[in-house]
Amino acid sequence: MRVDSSTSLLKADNLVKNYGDVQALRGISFEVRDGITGLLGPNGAGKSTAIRIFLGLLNADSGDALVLGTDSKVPEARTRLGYMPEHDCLPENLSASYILNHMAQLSGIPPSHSRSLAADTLRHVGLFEERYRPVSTYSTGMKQRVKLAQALVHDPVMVLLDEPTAGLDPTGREEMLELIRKIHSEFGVSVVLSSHLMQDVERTCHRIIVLDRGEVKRTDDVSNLTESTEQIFIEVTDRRDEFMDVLRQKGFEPSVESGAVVVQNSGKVVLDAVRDALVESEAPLRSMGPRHRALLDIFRE
Amino acid sequence: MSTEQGTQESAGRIFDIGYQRYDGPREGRARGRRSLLLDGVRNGLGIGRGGWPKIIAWGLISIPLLTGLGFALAAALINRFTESFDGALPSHEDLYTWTAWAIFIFAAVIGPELTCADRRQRVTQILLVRPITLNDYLLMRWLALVVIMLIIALLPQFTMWLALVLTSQNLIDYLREEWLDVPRFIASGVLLSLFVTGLTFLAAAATSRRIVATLTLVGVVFVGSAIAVFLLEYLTGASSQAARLINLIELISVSVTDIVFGKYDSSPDDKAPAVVVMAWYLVVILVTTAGAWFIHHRRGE
Repeated sequence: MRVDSSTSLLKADNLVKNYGDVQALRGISFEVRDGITGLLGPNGAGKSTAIRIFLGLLNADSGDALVLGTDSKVPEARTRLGYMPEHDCLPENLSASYILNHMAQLSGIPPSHSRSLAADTLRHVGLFEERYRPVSTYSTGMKQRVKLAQALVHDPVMVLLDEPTAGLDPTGREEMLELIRKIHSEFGVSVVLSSHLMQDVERTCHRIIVLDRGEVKRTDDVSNLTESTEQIFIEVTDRRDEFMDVLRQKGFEPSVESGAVVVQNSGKVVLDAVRDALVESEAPLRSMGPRHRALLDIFRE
Repeated sequence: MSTEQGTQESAGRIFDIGYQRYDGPREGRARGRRSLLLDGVRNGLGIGRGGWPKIIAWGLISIPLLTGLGFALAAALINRFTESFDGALPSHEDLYTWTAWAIFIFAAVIGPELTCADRRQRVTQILLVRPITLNDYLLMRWLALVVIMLIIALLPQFTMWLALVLTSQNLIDYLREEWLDVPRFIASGVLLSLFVTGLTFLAAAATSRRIVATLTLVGVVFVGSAIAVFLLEYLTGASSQAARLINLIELISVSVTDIVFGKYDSSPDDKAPAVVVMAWYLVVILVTTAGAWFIHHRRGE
């Protein structure tokens, strides 16, 4: 079942949650639709509390949390929801095949189907050959994949991933992010990615929800937030100073950022002038293009 | 492609059909509960759990089973080779007296792992986000232990009953005269299973370490019994009757079985009336089971 992009998969409506005197959620409201949505925020922002309420593990003090249109307190709301926790959560002495088979049945899949679903899911996450080995013999990356697989085994409409790249080396991290993109683009499963790593969110998500101190600070498409700025970013391998001098002679005010030359305005006339300046200064060009804002810049603002 | 012999060889090709959405049946919470129960029983018996869990579980199970077989063999030989043998024929209540401690030790060693391991390894994080509730989880884990305890308590009894029936001088007469043995040993088995399961669940709820739960359980039962024996040296009347009630070893292995089999003698001054002993037994079952539930809910898993 692939849902319509306008259908609300998760909906928080004025959610409030207090732990004693600490206000974890201060009446937050947001909606999550089809796609990959990033839930961003520092520690204590309320991300985990919000996720736990949607998973039915916590009750909100007031407000509504809807999962696929059903109150999150109703167990059946979780039939088509998957969850990958941040921390270790796998029984060490069991095989991945047994764990997934059991998890599929816990989500209501009959045994006649659960075994093949478990095998298929492990194949999709790249663990088909190792599926009968005890989880205790797996590497960190393999365990992360089993955690992801158990969230997917019952063919959910949406999965909530809590820090899925935690503890992974750069290669493992790249593979996990690629897998997350594939979950949406190929499997048709929507994703909520809770992370404090902005690069992961920026490169993977279509939309972000920023939480801070129990409030929603911003909700927007990643493409809107990181839209092109009115600047050109030029990297040269040599003769940078000569290149900048020529630009100044042509009336521009170039600056240097991260070793590259940045020029204001990006119209056709400017691009032509930059090209001419490169030729005149004989500076070897490595790359050139419009400068995009990074999520980090937005957070700094 | 034709071969030298003129036969046709088909050229095999493998196609990756990619991720397939699951459109089969979904059986909801009922399937989840059944899966939890089955997993609990398998866990308790060490099935699919590697070498050591199997050796420990079946090593402990073999004690009451072999005792039952020994009793059955003795009863069968006496029945077969003696014309009349009043009094000394091994009975079902004797078998409980001999095996109840082994059943308790099994519960104390194996039982806590049903819930302790899930908490220790944080497996509850991925169990309780399925369409099941904490009550479903606790009920099915509790039921799994009750089922295992019933198997261990009743299997030796049925073995012995079968031996007595098959080797009796007159099968019809035996069944007519001793038919009450079956409901009695079943009732005793159910009460014993509920009692040790309640104690085990309470100890397991208090800690996530199996060894701590096991030692606490064994310690409380044996130390409590030792204190009771010590107090009985000095107390009389109602006080001694109360002291005897904390002797859980006697309560488990003798008192209730004697009451169910109609052999309980409350004439000594320090023995409470049968109705008081039975009421106390039921109170312990209720309090320990409810206590375990309360602790799990308070912690919120």
